[in-house]
Amino acid sequence: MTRRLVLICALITMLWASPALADNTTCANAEPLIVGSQASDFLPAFTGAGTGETFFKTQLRAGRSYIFWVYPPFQDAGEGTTAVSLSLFTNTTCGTPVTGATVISSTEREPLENVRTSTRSP
Amino acid sequence: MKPTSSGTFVLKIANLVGTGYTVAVTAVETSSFSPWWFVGGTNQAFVTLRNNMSTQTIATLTLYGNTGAVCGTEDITIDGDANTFRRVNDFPACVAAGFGSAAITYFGPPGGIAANTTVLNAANGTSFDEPFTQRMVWSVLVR
Repeated sequence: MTRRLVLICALITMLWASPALADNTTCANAEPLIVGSQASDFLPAFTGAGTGETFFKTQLRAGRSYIFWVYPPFQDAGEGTTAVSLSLFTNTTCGTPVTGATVISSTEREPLENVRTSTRSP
Repeated sequence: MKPTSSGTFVLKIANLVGTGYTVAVTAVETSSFSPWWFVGGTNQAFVTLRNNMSTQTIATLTLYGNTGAVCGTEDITIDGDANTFRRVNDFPACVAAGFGSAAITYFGPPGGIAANTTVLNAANGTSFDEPFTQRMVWSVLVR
C-alpha cells in the first residue's frame, strides 16, 4: 500500500504540468536582478540582429549611484574568444539606451580591469 | 551610473561572437552617506573626499538639511588617487538649515571613493567626525 502511494505521488510529481517559463532573451521577458545580487545565465551565440542577447530588469532610484558588470567566469582561453556589451534602458521596451552624463562605460576601472578583455560595464 | 529618474531599468547583455557561453552579471549600489553635519554658531563642516581608484571619476556631493530637503549639490571631478574637500558653510541654504546630512554618488566600483565629514569649532577647540558609509555592503563574489 505504501509503495503504491509513493508511486502515485511520484507520478503526480512527474506529470504535473510545470508553468511555461519564457527565456529572458527578449526585453519583455527580462528576469529580475535585485541590486546587491549576482545572476548567472547562458548567453546564446550571436547569429544576427536581435540574437545572442539576454535581459535583466532592476529597480533603481534617482540620486543614487550603481555599478553593473558582466564577465564569463567559466571561459578558458582555449575555449574561444568572448566579447559582450552591456546596455541599460530606462523602460521595459528597450528603446534607447541610457547614455551621456549619467553613465560611464569602462573596461579598465579597478578592480574589474583584470577581466577587461571581455567585459564592459556602464 | 547615476540615474536621473527612479523606476524599472533593463540591462541588456549582448554576445558579440558566434559562440554561446555562461556569463555572470552583478548589480551593486555605490551611494554612501554621512549622517550629520552642523554649521550653527561658529562651527564649520568639511566634507573630505579621496578617489581610491587609479582613474578619474566624478563624485556628486548632495547636502541635505535636517528636514531631508536638498540644500546644496555639486559635481566634483577627482583624479585617480587625488583628494579634495568642500566646506558646507559655503552653501547658503545649508547654513540656513543649521544641521543636516550628506550623500555621495560616483562613477566606479564599491569603495571607489572614501569620504568623511569633519565638524570643527576653532573658537571652542572642538571637533567631531561623521564618516561616510556605503549603503550597500559588498563582499567577494561567488561564481
